[in-house]
Amino acid sequence: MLPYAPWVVWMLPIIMAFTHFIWERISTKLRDAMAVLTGFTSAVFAASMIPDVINGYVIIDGVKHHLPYDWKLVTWIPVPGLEIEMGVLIDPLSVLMANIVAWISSFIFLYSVEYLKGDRGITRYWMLVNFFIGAMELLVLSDNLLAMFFGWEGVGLASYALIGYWYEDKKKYWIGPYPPSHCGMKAFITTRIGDVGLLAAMLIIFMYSGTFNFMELAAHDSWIISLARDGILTLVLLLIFLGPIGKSAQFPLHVWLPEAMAGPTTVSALIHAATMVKAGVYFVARFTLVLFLVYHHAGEIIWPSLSTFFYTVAWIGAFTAFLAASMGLVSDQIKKVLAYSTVSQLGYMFAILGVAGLLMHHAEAFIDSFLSGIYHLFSHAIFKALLFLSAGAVGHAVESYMLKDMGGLRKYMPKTFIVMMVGALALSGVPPFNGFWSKDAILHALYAEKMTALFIVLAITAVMTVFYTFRMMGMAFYGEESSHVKHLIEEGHKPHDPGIFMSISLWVLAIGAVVSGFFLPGISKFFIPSFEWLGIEAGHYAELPLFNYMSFYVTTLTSPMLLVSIVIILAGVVPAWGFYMTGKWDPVEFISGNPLFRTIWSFLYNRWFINTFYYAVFVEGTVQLSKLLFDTVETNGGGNALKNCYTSLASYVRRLQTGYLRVNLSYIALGLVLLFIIFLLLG
Amino acid sequence: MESILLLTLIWLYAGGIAIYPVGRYLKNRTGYLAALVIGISLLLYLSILDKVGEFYTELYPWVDIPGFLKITFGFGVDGINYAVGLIILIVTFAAAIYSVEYMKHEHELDAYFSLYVMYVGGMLGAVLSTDIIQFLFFWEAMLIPSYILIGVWGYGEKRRVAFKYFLYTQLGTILLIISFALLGYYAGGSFSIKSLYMIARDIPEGIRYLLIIFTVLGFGVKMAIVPLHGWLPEAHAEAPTPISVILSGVMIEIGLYALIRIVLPITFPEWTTESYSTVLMLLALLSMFYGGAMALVQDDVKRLLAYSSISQMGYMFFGVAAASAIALEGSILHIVGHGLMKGLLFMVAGVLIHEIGVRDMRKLGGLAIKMPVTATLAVVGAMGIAGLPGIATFISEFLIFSGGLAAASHLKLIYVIFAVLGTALSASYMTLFIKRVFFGPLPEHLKDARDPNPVMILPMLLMALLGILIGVYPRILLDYIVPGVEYLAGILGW
Repeated sequence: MLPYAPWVVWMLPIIMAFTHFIWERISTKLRDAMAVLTGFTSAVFAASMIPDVINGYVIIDGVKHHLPYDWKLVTWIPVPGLEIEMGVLIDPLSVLMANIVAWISSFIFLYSVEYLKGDRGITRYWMLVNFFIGAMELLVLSDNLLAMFFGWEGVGLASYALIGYWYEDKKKYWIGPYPPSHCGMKAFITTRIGDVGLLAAMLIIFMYSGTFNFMELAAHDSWIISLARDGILTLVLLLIFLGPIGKSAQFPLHVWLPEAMAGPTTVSALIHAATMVKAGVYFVARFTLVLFLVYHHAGEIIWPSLSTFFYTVAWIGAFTAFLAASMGLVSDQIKKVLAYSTVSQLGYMFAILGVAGLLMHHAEAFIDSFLSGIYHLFSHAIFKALLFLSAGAVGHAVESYMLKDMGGLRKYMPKTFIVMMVGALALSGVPPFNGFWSKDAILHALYAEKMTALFIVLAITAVMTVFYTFRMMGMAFYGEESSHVKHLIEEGHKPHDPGIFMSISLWVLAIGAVVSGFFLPGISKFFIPSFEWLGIEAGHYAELPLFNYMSFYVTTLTSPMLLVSIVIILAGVVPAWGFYMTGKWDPVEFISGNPLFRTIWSFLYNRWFINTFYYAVFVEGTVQLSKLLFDTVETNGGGNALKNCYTSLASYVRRLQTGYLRVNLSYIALGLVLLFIIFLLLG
Repeated sequence: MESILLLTLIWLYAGGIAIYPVGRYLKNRTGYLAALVIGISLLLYLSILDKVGEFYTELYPWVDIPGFLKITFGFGVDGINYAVGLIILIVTFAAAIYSVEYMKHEHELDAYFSLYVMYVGGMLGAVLSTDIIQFLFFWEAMLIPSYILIGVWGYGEKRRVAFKYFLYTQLGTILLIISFALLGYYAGGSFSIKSLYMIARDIPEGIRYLLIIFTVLGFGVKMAIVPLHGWLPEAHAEAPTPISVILSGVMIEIGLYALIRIVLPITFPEWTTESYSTVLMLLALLSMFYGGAMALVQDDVKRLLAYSSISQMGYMFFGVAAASAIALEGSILHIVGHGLMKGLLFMVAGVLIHEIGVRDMRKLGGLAIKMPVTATLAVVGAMGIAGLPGIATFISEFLIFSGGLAAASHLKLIYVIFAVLGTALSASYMTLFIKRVFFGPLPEHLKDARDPNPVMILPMLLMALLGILIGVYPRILLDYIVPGVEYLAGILGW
């Protein structure tokens, strides 16, 4: 490990974020170089932690510490009863996440150099993305809930500012009905609602445990037993889950992610596909590990709440996977298809992590499903970043993200077509791309543990995934050129493959999407320190196929599950092939010809009307209620209450002020009598 | 005996008086003199930093009629009021510099800055007082200059608004005078704040109830606790912007400070009980949500910020009502954090008024491209009010909520969850504000807008950086606030 690696990884980008305006003064090239360099430096520091995790220990100041190691440096909040120390946690999960974030972001930075060339706000862009990386690394590396929450809100802020990056709301940056600045605001407020739950739950946990530290929470069980005794454990766990629901755009807070596509494509790739939206998955994984250990201390008393929690996680995930995939079927913009797909794939990860939690009492099954989720997190980060960046290259070339403005692009952008196809195949789960191995691992785990209902939902979702992926590919790259493309060619703007910087990133990610599939069992071995920490004996997992290169691939390719995968792929590809790639059948005719299909289409196209419902009830409802209060209570009543009081009081009192001498004299007499009585009474 | 605090106060008042004649010659540079006066008093004030831990006090005899009346005149600091005094001086210092440019074209700047400095003296005097009669004296001494400042240099129906402000506050003061007289009666003619807690249990229970009601109402007017907030939206919106900065940023918080310093020690047997505490917390929740909801539907920038202050005041009151040391520490820190962030936002609103003369959000938009620096600062302020980590207000809200839970009562738990939910409302109106003013297409009539000159930017930058500094490393203040609150909590038996 390089010196202070876990600290440098997150601090360096945050500090560098605030220096770009200085570099800009010297040269814009220097600024771009510094920003990219920051990404890669941080990535190298992150990578330097990998050997330590493989060894299972770190050496700091000559002292050997076993992993997971909680490296505390300073006391941060000194309030008695609320002392909080700032520290980083070095364990397989955090190091893996740190590396995914750092490396993918570095290549996206490289891509941005070319992609955003000539934009006027690049300094702001570099500041925000570098800040984002720092906050994200803090989120995954921090050893306690509170510091994690700092990172959590930091990435939220960066996301808000980057979605609204083109804040001038010029018409060409609109995606859908809302201007970019509205989209940023929507994302911020929606995720904020989830964060409220998370913050409240954190506070309650703190109140019972006296700590925010993950390791300390895992080491003690009294807090969770007291929570269970007080009957609020289920509530707290569900409140905690609200945070990931918001951040990872799961139902019912999924509405913000499609709108988040209003930002630059690099931002969509970085924040809304590869990294930030994974924060929720990361946190659930982290918390599952904590709960695993706590459960084995505390025993059955907490199981009812735990099982409710994990069922919720699994089913929210599965339902969201289905919901989002169904919306992706009819989406008319290339980035929105990918956004729905992201939501859907995150649903897979939650579903399998929920299942892992449900299988806690059975170490082998727990490890099997937990690792499947991590596999998918890993491969999704690569192939979804690839897909977004390819979509960015396409959008860059045709100056539109509408699928109807594309078509026939294979001819003009052959290289982009190849890399995007790699991404599409990985997303669809076609062997031997990385998505196949991880998705198959998930379905395999569900099947092996007899989670039939979840298995069916996710298998159907997989069919839809294949369909919308190839629909997107078909509409963009196959068939006739659209009138928009023809128009561009006439004007001399023939769509073409991107230049060197964008291509490097695309090819690196494409190669990653192919190769990384063959390293998945390495991730299992990587996680051994965590399992040792959980107290699971090696005998329980060493024999699992996930831990053995040969047997993982052999089992996957020889099990009956392969057949299911082939059926899924065919069921998705065939209609997409017929409708969109070869143009044999006409999709418009197919839908409009049948009233039932038309209804379904409109239902899906309107996103199940969930978004409309939220706007009508929560947004309009709040605003109208406030307006009503303002118009009635505030303007007429409250604001003038005192004045009205004085006026009416005065109107009574003035009747006494008659101005006649005799009346005034009688007042004086009355006053004297009263005074006399008071003196008598006081003695 | 050292007399640094007395010297600070005398310096401020002498400076305030001297500015009036000198200002005639300085014309529109008078503000620099005012800033200098406040800046020197800030330095004097900072010189006792190392004595905060030992409860530095200065006492001077004032009125002493043996056996009947004993009023001392003194100043003292502990962690609690040192932080409040510090934020008063920092915010007013920044606002004074800001005034130089902002008020450039106004009339009678000599009188304006003279009253301004005396206003600061009133606030600082009230916060440092060691005796409740002395406190009342300064309490009025800060009302009168602010009344004139609003009434003369304000906007809109400034006379009516200022009069309304005066009447509301004065009504509260009457209740305070009654309660203080009662207190003096039970304390045998002594009004020293330090000895208040010793007589708390001698006061009959019924009287203590009465005292809680009177003082919460009395200070509640200043704090603009809903439904006593009628004066605030108009006064804060129509005051000249540097005065709005002070009104919202530090003055209303003095009501809260007084509640902590004076009311808590005499009513803690009741205050700490679950029923009282929860009723007051409910009142605070009402402020939070009502203020937030009102802020959501405002079209006027300054009025939005004014309602937001009502909502934020709710958070601070919530912390005091929660009756726990941690929440109290949170409230004190929130005074500081909110003072910086709300001051910053009012200054942003002032930039709009000064540079383009528009404060109606329906006519604003897209200004980020023309005023990048102002927009960035506005985002910092907005995120501060929304309680985003990294800014002082997050730490303080976090402490307030944690403190609310420290009592481990289920009712309080529900209240805290609601209070946390309130931050989503803050985030809503603040992001809406940013969007309506700075994002979106630029209207034709704002084509010539640009960032103001550095004299206005620098004070804003100072506030923003301080807010972030405290947010990232809260120990710079908490190391002082905590011992003060812990000492008080020890007395109260929390």
